Amino acid sequence: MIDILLAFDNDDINAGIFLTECRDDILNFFNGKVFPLSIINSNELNHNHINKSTSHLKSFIFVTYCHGNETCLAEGGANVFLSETINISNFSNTFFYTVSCSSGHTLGHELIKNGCKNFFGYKEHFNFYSGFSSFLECANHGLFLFINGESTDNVYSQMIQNYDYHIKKVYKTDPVIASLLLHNKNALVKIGKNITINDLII
Amino acid sequence: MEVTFVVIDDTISIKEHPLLYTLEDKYKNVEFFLKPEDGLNFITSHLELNMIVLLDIQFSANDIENGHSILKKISEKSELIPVILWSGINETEESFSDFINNNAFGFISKDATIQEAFVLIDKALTFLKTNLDNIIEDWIIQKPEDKDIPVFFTANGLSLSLNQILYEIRNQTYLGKSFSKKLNQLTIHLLLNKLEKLND
Repeated sequence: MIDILLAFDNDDINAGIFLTECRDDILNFFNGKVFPLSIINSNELNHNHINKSTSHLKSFIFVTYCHGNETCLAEGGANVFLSETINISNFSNTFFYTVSCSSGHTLGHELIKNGCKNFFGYKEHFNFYSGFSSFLECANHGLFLFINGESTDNVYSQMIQNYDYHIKKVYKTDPVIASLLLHNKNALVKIGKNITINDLII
Repeated sequence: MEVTFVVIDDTISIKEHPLLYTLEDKYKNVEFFLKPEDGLNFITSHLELNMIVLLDIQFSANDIENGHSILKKISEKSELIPVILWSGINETEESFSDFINNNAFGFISKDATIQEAFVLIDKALTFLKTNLDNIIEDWIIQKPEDKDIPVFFTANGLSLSLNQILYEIRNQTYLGKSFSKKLNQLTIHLLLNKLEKLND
């Protein structure tokens, strides 16, 4: 059974509520499923703890909802806990799934170069708007599909379809919301080989 | 679309101008202000209205403000309000460079015919109807929730309330323009996916 690390910046002053809701939705999904889960919250979101949690694992799924930029992920937007220079080699043989701004632009590619099998993230800003569940549902959808056995190619195409579904649902009454969802959809990237969860089992 | 015409002119007889009668007949809402600061106060306290401003240029020496300063102050509050300079001045004698810099929508001479005036007024109406920034502004204004609570976030630390978004849009900042750019992309998406079509 594959290890799953869930890292959430749930205490973030701006995004914390949304990130917590995403986390709770994910934990609800895993309820009743037999997966070894490790949950890392804001107070442990630092490179020492990440290194300690990952260095001994040969293969795992890493899910992180946090702030980021093109080259790193950071707790509170300031304390870098994952980057090419700090600990990228810890993430070889992983499925990496993130909701963070812009990490799909450069970090995702660097992870793949360093042995990560597949990366899902966003190459531009990830937007969300409070009170609209579409953002959470779209953010988490791909992870659930992968855990349920879908290949990453199928996960990507179904995530795109899911974004389109939610855009169509809201655009007439809330065009601004639809435009933000469209932006997220267009920013979504999948990098790496086409794998399923079984490909991570060593 | 309901629109309010705000006329700022210190000549009382202008109230009887045929153009204003025509606007009242057609659009109902015409607000007339003799004192430029009163007109400015109305505009800044009614930003939720779709407004077109007809602004005289020269005012009495007793007035603190004139057409130049009023236009500047309107554009500082919002760049989404078409301000048409409506004046009898000699266009070759007045300085216009600041009018251009402060985004005056156009100029109508007080000697222009109704038909000539409506060429520009219709353009201003089209601007209000089709400008994506105005659509976003209307969407925000209609939202019933507290507009000072952050609702929009990005996963790199940015958070904005509806009033902050409104400020960004009205001031046409980079962030404000990014909202209308996204809406533009949505329009294209909807057309390409045949969810909507262009009106004939």
